[in-house]
Amino acid sequence: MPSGSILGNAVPRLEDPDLLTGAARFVADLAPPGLAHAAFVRSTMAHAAIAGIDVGGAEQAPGVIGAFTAEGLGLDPQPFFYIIPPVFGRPPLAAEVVRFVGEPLAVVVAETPAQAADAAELVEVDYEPRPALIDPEAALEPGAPLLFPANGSNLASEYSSKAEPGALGGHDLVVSGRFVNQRVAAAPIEPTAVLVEPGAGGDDGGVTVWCTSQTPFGARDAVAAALGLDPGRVRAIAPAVGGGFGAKAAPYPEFVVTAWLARRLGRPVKWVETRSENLVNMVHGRDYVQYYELGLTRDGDFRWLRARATANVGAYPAVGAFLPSFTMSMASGPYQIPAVDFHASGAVTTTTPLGAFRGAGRPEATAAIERIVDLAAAELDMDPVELRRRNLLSPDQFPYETPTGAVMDCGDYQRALDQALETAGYDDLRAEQRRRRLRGDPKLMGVGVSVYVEVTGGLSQEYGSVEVTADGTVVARAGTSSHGQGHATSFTQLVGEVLGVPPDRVRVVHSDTFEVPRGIGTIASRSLQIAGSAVFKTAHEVLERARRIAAHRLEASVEDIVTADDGSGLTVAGVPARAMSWPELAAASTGGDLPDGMAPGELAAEIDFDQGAATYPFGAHVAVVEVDSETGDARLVRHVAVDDCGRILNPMLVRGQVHGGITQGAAQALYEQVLYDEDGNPRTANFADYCLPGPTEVPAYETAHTETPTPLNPLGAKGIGESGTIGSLPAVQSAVIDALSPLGIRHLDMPYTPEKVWRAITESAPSPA
Amino acid sequence: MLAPMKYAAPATVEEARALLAADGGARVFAGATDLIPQIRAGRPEPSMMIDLKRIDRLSGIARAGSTWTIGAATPTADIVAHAGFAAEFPGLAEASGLIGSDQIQNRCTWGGNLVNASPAADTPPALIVNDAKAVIASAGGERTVAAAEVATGPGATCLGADEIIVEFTLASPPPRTADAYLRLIPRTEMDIAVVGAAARVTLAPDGAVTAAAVALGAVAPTVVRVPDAEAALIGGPLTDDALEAVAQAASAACRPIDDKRGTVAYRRRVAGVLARRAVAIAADRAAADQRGASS
Repeated sequence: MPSGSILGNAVPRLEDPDLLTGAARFVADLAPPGLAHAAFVRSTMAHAAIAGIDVGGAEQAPGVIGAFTAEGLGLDPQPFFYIIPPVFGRPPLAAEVVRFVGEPLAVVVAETPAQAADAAELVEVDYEPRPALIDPEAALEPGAPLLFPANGSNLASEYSSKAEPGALGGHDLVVSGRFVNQRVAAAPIEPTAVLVEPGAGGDDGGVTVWCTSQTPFGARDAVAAALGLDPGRVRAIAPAVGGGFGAKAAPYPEFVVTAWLARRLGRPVKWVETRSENLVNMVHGRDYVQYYELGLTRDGDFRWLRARATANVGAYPAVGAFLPSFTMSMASGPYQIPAVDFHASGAVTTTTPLGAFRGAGRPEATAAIERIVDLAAAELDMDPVELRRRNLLSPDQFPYETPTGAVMDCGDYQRALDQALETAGYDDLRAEQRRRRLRGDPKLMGVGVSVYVEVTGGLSQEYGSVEVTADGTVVARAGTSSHGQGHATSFTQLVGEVLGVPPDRVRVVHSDTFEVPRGIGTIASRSLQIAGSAVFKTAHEVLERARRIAAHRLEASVEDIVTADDGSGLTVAGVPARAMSWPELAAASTGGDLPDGMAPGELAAEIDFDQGAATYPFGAHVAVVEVDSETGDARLVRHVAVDDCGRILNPMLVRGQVHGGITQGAAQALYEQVLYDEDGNPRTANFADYCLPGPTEVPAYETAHTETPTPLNPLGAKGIGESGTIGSLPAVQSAVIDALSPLGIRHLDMPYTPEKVWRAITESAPSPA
Repeated sequence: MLAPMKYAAPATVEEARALLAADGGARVFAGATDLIPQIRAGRPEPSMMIDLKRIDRLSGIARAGSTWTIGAATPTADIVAHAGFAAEFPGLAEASGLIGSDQIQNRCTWGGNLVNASPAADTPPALIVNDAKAVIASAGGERTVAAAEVATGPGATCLGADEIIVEFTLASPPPRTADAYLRLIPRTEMDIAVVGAAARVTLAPDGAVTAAAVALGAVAPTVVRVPDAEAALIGGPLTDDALEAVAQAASAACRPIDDKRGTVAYRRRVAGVLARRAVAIAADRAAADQRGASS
C-alpha cells in the first residue's frame, strides 16, 4: 500500500457507537403501527403423519387475529436451497408429514407476542408416529425407513472424485481412522426474526421484509417465488443483524409464512424466535462421519488418501447437502498427496436440517486430514510437525490443482508453520511436556499443531458502486450484507483511501434490495475480497472521472490533479487554491462543460466485480491444553494462530474475526454438541444443556499473520471470517489427544467433555513406560 | 382467561406470612433467579409473587460477638464482597460466588438457593459443613433448623406452607479452622454442578485434625454428609493416606443418578476427587489461619 495509506490501520469500527448505545435497530426492535405478532406451532414428534390439526381453540383465544395451517396457506413446497431436487421440497408449514422436532406446522397471529404464544399452545395436533432416524449411516442402510418415499432412498446428495485405477499404491503402510465431526449449533446471539409490512416503496401489492439475513437478495427471491410476486415488488432489508455464522445465509420458511400473513391480514406481522426454538429450528452445522485411509512410506511421504464421508443433512436437504463438495475439494489439505479417492453421501434424517456454519465443509475436511496425519505421525513415531513439513506444498507449486479439483491461488505454508511454532516456542513446550511427564504431573499437558488451507470467495462476482452526491457525500453500495463484520468501516476505509474523504463524508449502503440493485450477500468469507474490490475499483473510476473534470475546469494536466489533503475535493498538486470541491465536481459531472469525449452523467461508477476464481487462505495453529487426569477436565491454556488472509485492510477487524473463529473451533473440540435421543427428541435445546462457552473458557489468544496477497483481486485480500474456526479445531483436538497419548490413546471423537475424557483415561491401559 | 399474576412487596415478615397464608397459590421470592426460569419453562404460575427484598430484616450481614447473622434475602454478591465474612468462611464465600454470573449474584440468595432444593445447588454443602442454622418464621413464632435439615428431597423442604426463612446464623469458626468448596462443571461459570464438594477442617497446633466436615452436592437427592471421611481425618495429621480415605469415603457415600450432566460412575469418582481436594485446601487455609496463633 502507498505510504500514508489508511489501509492496514486498525480503524475503530464505525458501527460500534450505535451498537453500544442501543441505537442500532434489530428486527425485534421494530414496531410499526398496527403490528401483529406470530407464533409458530412446532412438531413435537421427530417423524409422523399429520392426521389432523385443530386450530379452533387458538382462534377463540384472547387477542388472536387468525390461526393457519398449510391448508390455509396454500403455498407450494419450496426448495430452500437452489440445488435441491424437487422431491425434497419443503412446505413452509408441514402439510402431511413432520420430519423433525421443531418443524413448524401451524401459525397463530395475535395482538401481542404473549397472546400469540399462549394461543399457539391451544393448537391440537393429531400425529400418527413414524420411525425416527437420527444416524446418517443407518439412514443409508437397506430397509431404513424413508423420509421421502418418492426418492426411493434417504440419499440426498453424492460427491465423488475417483483416483486413477492403481493410483492408491506405492506405500509402506496405511493408517486409517473413523472420525465423527459432531453436530453443532451456530447459536448467534440474535436468533432468527422477521417483520413483514404490506407494501413496498409505494407499491401497495408488494411487501417489505425485514429479516435476519446474510443474503437479503436471497430472502427477497424466496418470498417472491413463494408468493408469486415479481422480485422487484419485494423489498428485503437486513437491519442490524446479531451474528449469522452461515446459519442466516439461506432464507427460512418463517420468512415466507410471515409475508403471506402480512398480505392476508393487511397489517405488519412480526415473528421473533425464542432461544429454545432457535436451537431446534435454525440450521445446524457439521454432523459428518468420516473414514480416512492414508498410504505413506516409512520415511513419511504421503502417497495417497482414500476418504469416505457420510453427511447428515437433516430432515430437508438444504445447504448442508451441498457442503460435502467443499470437503471434497479441500480433502488433501495443504499437503502434496499424489492420489486422492473421495466419496461423500448426504443422508436425510429426522433431525433439524443442516446448513452452513462457519467453515461449512472445510472444517470437516481439515479436521479429518489433520487427524489422519497425526495418526500417521504416531504410527511412525515421528514428530507431527516434522511429518507435516515433509509433505506441505511449497510456494513455487502455485497455482496448484489438487487431485480433487481445487485450483489454489498462492500459499506459503512452511512460513506460516514456522511463525506459529516460533511464537508458541514449540521446542520449549515439548521440553516442558517431557519434564512434566517424567515427574508424573497429574495435569496432563498436550500440544497440538494444525496446518490448514481453506477456500473463500468461490461465488466470485458481486455488485459494488460509488457515487459522489450533490452535497459531496460519497455513497458506496455493495451487494453484500454485514451482520457484525464491520463492512461499513472497511468500505469507508476503501473509499477514503482512493478519494481522500474523511469517514463522516462516506455513507455505506447495503442490506436493502431497494437501495442496492443486485447482489449475492455475505457468505463464504467473500465480502471484502469481492465486494470490497468492487467498491475499490469503482472509487478509482470515480476518481479518474473527477480528475479529468477538474483538469479541464482548472486548466491543468490530469496528472497534476490530486486529492485535497483536507478531503474536500481535488486540487492542482502544490497549488491548494486551485481546487474543486466534491459538490462542485458532482455538479460539473452532469453539466455541459466537460472534457472532450466525456458524456454528462453522475459522478458515479458501478461494477459487477468478478475475481474469476476462489482464493485459498491458509495458516498454522498451535494449541496447548491441560487435562486434569483425575476428572478428565480439559482446558485450553494457550492458542497461537498464524493466519494468512492476504493483504490486511483493517487489523482490528481481522483480529476480531480470528478471535471469534478460534473460539468457535475450540468450542466444537471441547464443549459443543447437539444431541438427540433415539426417538429424535432434542436434548440440547437451551443453553443450560447446550454447552456454548464464553470468554472465561478460553485463554487470551496469541495471533499473528503472514501476508501472501492473492493475485485475483486488486486488494490482494482473501477471506478471514472462517479461518480461525478451521485452523483452531484440529489443533485443539490434537492437543487433547497428545495429552492422553502416554496412556496409549490415539483418537477420541469430540467434544472432549470431562466425563468422556475421564472415561478414556480410566479405560486405557497404563503406559508401559 | 387466566387471572393475571399479582405482585406484593410487604415490609414485614408478618405481612409476608399473612399474604402467604391467605393464598395457597402464592410464592415468596427473593432473587427469583430459579422461580422465573421455572415459570418460563412451564411450571404453574403462582397466583401471587411475594417479594421479600423489601423486608429490612431479610437483608444484611452482621456479626455480634461470635455469631454471624445473614439475612435470607441478602444477595450473594454482598456476601462475596464482605471481606470480614469471607476471611472467616472462604469456602462459603467461594460457593456463593460460583452461582450463575455477576448479574445473577446481584439477585440470588442463600435462602432461595436452599429452599429451591436443587440437589446441585452450590451454597448448601458449604452452609452445612459450617453448621449454619436457618431461622424460620412460623405461625407460632420462630424456629431454628439446621441448614442440613431444610431440603428433604429435590424441590422439597421442611418448610410449612406459610413459613419463610428469615435469616441464617453461623458461629465464628474456632482458631486454625477453614472451609473450601469445589465444583466440577464443563464450563468455568454459568453452569450447574456435576458434583460439588465442601469441606471444613480444624487443626491442632501440631497439625493434627481435631474437627472435620465434608458434604457433597449433586450426588444424591439432598446434600450428603460424609461421616466416614470425617472420621478418617480426625485425630491424625493430614497424610496422603487420610486424604485417600476421604476420597474413598466420599465416593462410597454418593447416591447419584445418571443424567445428562453425568453418569453414576463418573459422579462417584469426581465426588471423591473433589472431596479430597477440598479437604486439602481447607487444611492449607486452616494451617495459615493466624487468628489463633497467639493462644
